[in-house]
Amino acid sequence: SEAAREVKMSYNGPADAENNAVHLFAENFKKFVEEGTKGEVTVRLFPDSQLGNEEERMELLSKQGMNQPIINVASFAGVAPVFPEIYASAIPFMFNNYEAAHFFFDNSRFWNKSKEEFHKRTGAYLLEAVEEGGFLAFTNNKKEIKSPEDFKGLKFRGMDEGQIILYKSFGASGTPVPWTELYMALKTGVVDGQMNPAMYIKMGSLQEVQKYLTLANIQYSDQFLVVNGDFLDSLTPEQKTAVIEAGKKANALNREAMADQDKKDINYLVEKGMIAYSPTPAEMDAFREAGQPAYVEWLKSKAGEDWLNLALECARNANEKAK
Amino acid sequence: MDEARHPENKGSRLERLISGLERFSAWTACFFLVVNVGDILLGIFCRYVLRSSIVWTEEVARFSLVWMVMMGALGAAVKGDHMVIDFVVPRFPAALRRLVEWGRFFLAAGILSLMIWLGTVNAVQIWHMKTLALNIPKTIPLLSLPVGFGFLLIGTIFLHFRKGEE
Amino acid sequence: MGISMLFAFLGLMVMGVPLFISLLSTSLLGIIMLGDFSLLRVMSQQFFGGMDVFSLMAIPFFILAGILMNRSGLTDRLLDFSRLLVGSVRGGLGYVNVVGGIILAGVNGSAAADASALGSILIPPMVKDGFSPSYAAGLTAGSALIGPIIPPSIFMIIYATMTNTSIGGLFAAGILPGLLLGGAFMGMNYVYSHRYQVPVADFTEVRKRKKEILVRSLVALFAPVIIIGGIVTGIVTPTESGALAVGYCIAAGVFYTRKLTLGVLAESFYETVRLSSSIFLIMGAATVIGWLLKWEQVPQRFASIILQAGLVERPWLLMVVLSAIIFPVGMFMEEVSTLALLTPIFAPIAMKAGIDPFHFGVVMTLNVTIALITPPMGACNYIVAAVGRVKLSDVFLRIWPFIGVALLVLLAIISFPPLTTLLPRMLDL
Ligand code: NA
Ligand code: NA
Repeated sequence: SEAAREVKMSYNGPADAENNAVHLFAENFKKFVEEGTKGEVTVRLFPDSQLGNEEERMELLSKQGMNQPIINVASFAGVAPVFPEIYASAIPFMFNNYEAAHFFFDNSRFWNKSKEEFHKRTGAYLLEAVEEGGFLAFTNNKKEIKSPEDFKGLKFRGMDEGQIILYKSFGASGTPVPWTELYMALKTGVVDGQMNPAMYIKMGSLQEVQKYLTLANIQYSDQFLVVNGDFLDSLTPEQKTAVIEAGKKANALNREAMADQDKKDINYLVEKGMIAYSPTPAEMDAFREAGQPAYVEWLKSKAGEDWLNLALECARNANEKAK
Repeated sequence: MDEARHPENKGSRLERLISGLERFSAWTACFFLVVNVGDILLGIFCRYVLRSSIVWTEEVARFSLVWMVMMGALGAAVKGDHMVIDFVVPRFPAALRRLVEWGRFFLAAGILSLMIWLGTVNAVQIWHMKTLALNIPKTIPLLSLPVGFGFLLIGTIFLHFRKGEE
Repeated sequence: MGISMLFAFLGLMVMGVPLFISLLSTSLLGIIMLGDFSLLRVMSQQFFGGMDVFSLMAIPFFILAGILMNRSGLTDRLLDFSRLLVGSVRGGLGYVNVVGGIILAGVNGSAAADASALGSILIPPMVKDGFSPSYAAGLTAGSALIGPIIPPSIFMIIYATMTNTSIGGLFAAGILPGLLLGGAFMGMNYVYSHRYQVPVADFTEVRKRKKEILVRSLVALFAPVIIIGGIVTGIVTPTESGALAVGYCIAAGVFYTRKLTLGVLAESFYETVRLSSSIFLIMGAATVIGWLLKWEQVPQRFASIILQAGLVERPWLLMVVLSAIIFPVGMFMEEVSTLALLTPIFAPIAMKAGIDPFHFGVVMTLNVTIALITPPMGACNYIVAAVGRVKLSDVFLRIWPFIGVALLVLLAIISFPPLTTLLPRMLDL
């Protein structure tokens, strides 16, 4: 047999499985790859974006770029520059629950088509949508939000044009504020609210400056496991299967851990004095009707109508299956 | 920008070329600095006075900064602002000093040429990538590298041969 | 690979190759040694990436604000104010020098701007007052060190950007250490002026103009208020406070002191562009080397040595050891490159040791700042020697007591973390 091959794996955030779900994934993935290939392929972890920011890492890995034999966990900011259609998987209020999202990212036609198209454009393989931190929730310190009407006149932190459009369609305004400045901005009232998974709200101690938490399942938070094409193709069929399986198994563990963690984090926020609210199905429909059309309209220039329609259709199916 | 700094301006062609090139890059770089300051002030104005923000101010700030930096590189070279240890070589005997100066020149010219080439490849290959807020090709900020290094390379060659003339 | 890259870099640097070219050549050497030419494009990618960072935007603003303060005559007014404050005692101008340094530090992002402003205005009268020229020059270099510690600070912006620390928080963390540094130099001036019986300065003229000076300095004092106040209250980000300060200085210089003509403005802008360019090219080139070192996991190997030595359990000793590494590096290397190269290696270890990020940020920044006055490479020494018309060799000889005092302050800051962590915590930054 050949000598062991080492592959570098890069991702964002600290090497701390408690606070960084992507690291948890990377650790398990490394373990499963090394077990599955009997040590013929070893993985070396590069946390903290050590090999560059999202775009730089995607350039490093793709065929037109530097085509390095690496594995990368990319966020939307990394995938979108080469495959903007990925945004169609982040339409607000798409999924009713975790099961629906899991079904969508395991089996849907949208997901399979995405994998093919991504490979065509970059030579690289898109393997998994790694669950990363639960659904995004709204927070604010002005009033309890139960329906789109409650947003009128509030100022929110909007990190991209999409978020800003979403707030505008509810009658609120959106302002970009970097993460490091967010706590102060919420405290001094530069903005009244923001959206993030409970995990990040806790990480940024935002419960100290935010009173109300609305668990509206806004967006499913995930990052993407991407592998350099030449590297994966150079492996033996057995090794290749082992790598693909390792991604699946590690992601399954992440989903388990995240479901637990999200509940715990929400409880923590409530303990610290936040008032949490889960909208009823009728209220969720109201959010969907008010928020989706403008967002989808905006996305058309990036993701194209066909991809958007396919994603919405697959999401509807997934929601049905997960009922 | 000021010719007073070169009082011994002999009006040689080389001299005119250098100062012309410097003046062009200086004005371009200063233009980007003004854009930069104005852009940030505009951001504050919109947030506090108009109570809303523009998404593109952050990108304009970053891109005008890299263009400013790269266009300012030639001026920094002409005026001697690039950080250099310059107290060792002048103590060398004349022949050795000349040798080191030529070595430095070839190294700088080589590295700058390499960076121009690599920067061009990078900028051109990324033509299809659009920036998030402005939705312009990422090539536009990336081009600052080969262009700025291009000016610096031409300047380095001129400056080296001006020194030779003296 | 790390070692041969280090020697190549030092060799090129000593031969007078511009620093950013030395750094880029060293990266090229590293790639050649790895034998993987597909990595070449990383050179342009990471060079660009090292400069294309929003928070670095504040650097040109604080450079420009400092230049505009000097050229608009606002700096003169600030120094008149500090004359009035601390002038009329034995060795009075020495205190004026330090207090002036503290106030100027509230506007200037770098020490170079402080050193040239303080030196050109204060060294000649200090010599006339009976200070030795080399002491006057040394004290000026010392006062200038306060510049990068009291906000705004280019070094802190670079450190915070590389480690994802809040710039505003790190700025606040520098306020007390900066004042401590100023206090230490004032103490030193007390000892010097009494031992050498420097005469009591005659400030009857200044005191007569008391009201006038107070009124005139108000406009100038408002600039540090905008910068530090804006950041500390969180009304504006550090970058925005820099742009505001630039806007304020232009308005004050054009409409109030009327010294900023279009020509002066253009000159100031051009100088800013050149100085920023020299800093950013080094940042970009250092980012390329930093990437290659990470690709080869050099920082991890260094960290494991520190880990094996058991230093992670002893944060105090760790900071002393890291400072002892930075000191000789800082003697021979330019400061921005020192900071840009060592931060990615040192900061993760400090975090592992549980040191507060603001505490370590100030320690790292102060170390690099002290390098500004350690011979032979030390920008402040060159500047004070030039503007004070003192021989460089005299400055090199007489600067050591000032280095000693600064090192004592560093030790105090390493030993008492609250000096750095108190303010950011109180201000919720
Ligand atoms: Na300062
Ligand atoms: Na030094």
